[in-house]
Amino acid sequence: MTTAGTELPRGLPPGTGGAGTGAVVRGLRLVAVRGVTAVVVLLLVYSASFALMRTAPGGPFDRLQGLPEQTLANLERRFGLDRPLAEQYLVTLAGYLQGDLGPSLSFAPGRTVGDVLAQALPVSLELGAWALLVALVLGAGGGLVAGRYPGRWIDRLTTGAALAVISASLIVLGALGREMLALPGFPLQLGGFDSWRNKLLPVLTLGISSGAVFQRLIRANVAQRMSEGMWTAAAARGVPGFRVFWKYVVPAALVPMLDYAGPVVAGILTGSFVIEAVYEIPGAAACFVHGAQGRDYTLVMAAILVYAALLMTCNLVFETLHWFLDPRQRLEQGRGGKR
Amino acid sequence: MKGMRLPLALVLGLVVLAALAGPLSIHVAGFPYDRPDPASPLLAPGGISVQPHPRTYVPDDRLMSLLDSDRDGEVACSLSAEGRHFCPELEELPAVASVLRRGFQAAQGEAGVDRDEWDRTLLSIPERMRPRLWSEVLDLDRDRLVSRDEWAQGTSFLALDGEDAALFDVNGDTRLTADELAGTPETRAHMLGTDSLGRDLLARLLYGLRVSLLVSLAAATVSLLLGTLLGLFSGLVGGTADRIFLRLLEVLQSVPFLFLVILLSVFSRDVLKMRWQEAETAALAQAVLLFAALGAVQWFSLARYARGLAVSLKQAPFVQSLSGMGFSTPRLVVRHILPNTVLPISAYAVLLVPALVLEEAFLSFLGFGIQPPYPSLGTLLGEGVRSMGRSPLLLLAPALTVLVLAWSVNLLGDSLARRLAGGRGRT
Repeated sequence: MTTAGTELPRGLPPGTGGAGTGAVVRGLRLVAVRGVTAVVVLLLVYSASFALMRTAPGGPFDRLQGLPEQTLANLERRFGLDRPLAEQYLVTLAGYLQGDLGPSLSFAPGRTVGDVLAQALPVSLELGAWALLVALVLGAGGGLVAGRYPGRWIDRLTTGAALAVISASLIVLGALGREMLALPGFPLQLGGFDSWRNKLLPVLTLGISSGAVFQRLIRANVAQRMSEGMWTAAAARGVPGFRVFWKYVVPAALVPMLDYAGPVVAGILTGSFVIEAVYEIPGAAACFVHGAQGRDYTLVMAAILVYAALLMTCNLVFETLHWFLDPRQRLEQGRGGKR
Repeated sequence: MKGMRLPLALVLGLVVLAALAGPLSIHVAGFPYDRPDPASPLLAPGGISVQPHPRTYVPDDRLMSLLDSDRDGEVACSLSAEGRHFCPELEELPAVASVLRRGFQAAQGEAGVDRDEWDRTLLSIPERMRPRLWSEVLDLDRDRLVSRDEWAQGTSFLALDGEDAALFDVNGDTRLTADELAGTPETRAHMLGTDSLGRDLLARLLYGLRVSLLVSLAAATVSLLLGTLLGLFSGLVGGTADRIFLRLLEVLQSVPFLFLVILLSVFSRDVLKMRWQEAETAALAQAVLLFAALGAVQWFSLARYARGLAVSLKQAPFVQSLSGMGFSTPRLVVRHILPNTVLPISAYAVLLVPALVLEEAFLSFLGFGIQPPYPSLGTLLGEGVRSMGRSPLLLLAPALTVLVLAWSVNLLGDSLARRLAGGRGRT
């Protein structure tokens, strides 16, 4: 996508290309504004999850049945849970700002949240990154082919397959994959995430499912570009079809896709909940689910914030990339507000 | 129109099935969705006819001679205070069954019990039952052995109890005649089998479809209202308010609301359980709350679409010229702009439903959505995944339902949108 994008200015009408210094400054300002917004949003997410967790009945020590009152009181005092809520709110926030995520209360007593996430997050990130790669390859391939020949059999095949995959939902795909694992003599394994044997199937499942979403987006975009006049005009001037397609249509259709990369990453993140549950992978999504059920305040809030930050960073990166790759973006932003 | 007929028919069919879930589960499936079949211990999960059990008993006119210990030509029962059948003649069956089981287990070899050994076991049970149980009768494959399956098949009638007597007792006179014992035409087989608790899968599937459609329609309505109203308003007003609204949308779209919805569901469950003691009310209230929340965080792209629509209509030549002719703004908006947004927005909104069905499935699958005793497509999928390998139908049936539902609604929305786009292109 990136290499295709660098050729973009040539495919556009004169006067719209060229990233001058003014544009770069505006771009940097955009990034700065987005960064500040992200911090504000993170603060709001922190407040919302804090409020949700503390208004909920029950506490992290509910599962420790039969303890004397005094012991529970001591536990609460030790973790500062007996303090006024406002103080807890500020103390936890101050801890986050210093990079201290606090102790895990019920999911993994005795360990710090940072420790738990440091172990679980790389697993989820690796799963997500590989799945994103698979999704990009499959989605871009399927979308380009289908958009290149709209209405032909190859379009019907890939688009139909994508729709079927989306309709089947990740749960069914995952379950079918898991069923395959049970076949006698199947070389792949279930559980964990430490070798290609237990990585391949989860990655493929998640990747195919997200790739289907990408395929639909890219197909629609490419087909729309193809129906625009430049295709016919170029053909009338004797430019070979494949050249028009690869040099002009593809970059113009793919670069706006960067805007959708954010939601697709969010989709992969959502999907990792299901995949981690179906394939028994000890990732961060699994931590979040168990933590929420066990009222592990610190773990849940840290997980939410880490994911929120991750998602917003991805959005920021993709949007910035779009800004620098697509001259029209700069032009429209310069004119104020985009359509 | 041609491409729309099949998806439309499928969608309508599923909606009718969901609407009629109540009567269908009683009259077609034959079982309620939330109660286990009393005979379920005889059935493995997913079982349709794994072991013969009295409900699907092969009509057997010799049954009377086996059961009738006082030789009066009938199995007489009486009604207990709770209205249950109590039949003295059936009371000795468990004892006989356990004698036979012990005998079978003691003499069991690799592939079963030797025929002579089995016949010796029979000497310790009442004489009238023996003709039915001789190894000559049980050893169906003639390998001189009574295998485990042959034993289970042959002795299944020993599981008859008062509850079964009530079923056989067609005329309700508490006396079972030989004719009644020969079986009733009513077949009580589970068409799609049972789940691990012995509940009928077909009935659960029908109810699950209904619950899933209801909650996703509720969520879709919430997000449709929010998205359309806010989007159209922002697009029509324009100016600074519009720009601020767009920025807000961008920010909102980057918030991982899913986590907050999961948190909300975990905690609302406990709050509501304390508020309402009955599990059903609490589960229903939670479902409504949860999916209202889900709808409330799903309207961003719809709002963007509605806003774009409003902006383009505002600049459309016919609106501009009407405005030039001196039509008032409210009249323009109500009479000319809003009616033109209905079709495109409904084409877009149709696509919300399958997305929300899948979202519901996702949440319920993880245990955060619909709570028991209600089934939903998501909870059924979850149960199916957990018992895969042993009984594939438990997964395949809900999976196929989700697939057909989401596929047909998606296709419907797609072709609606395409027809609208085509129509606009021609004019």
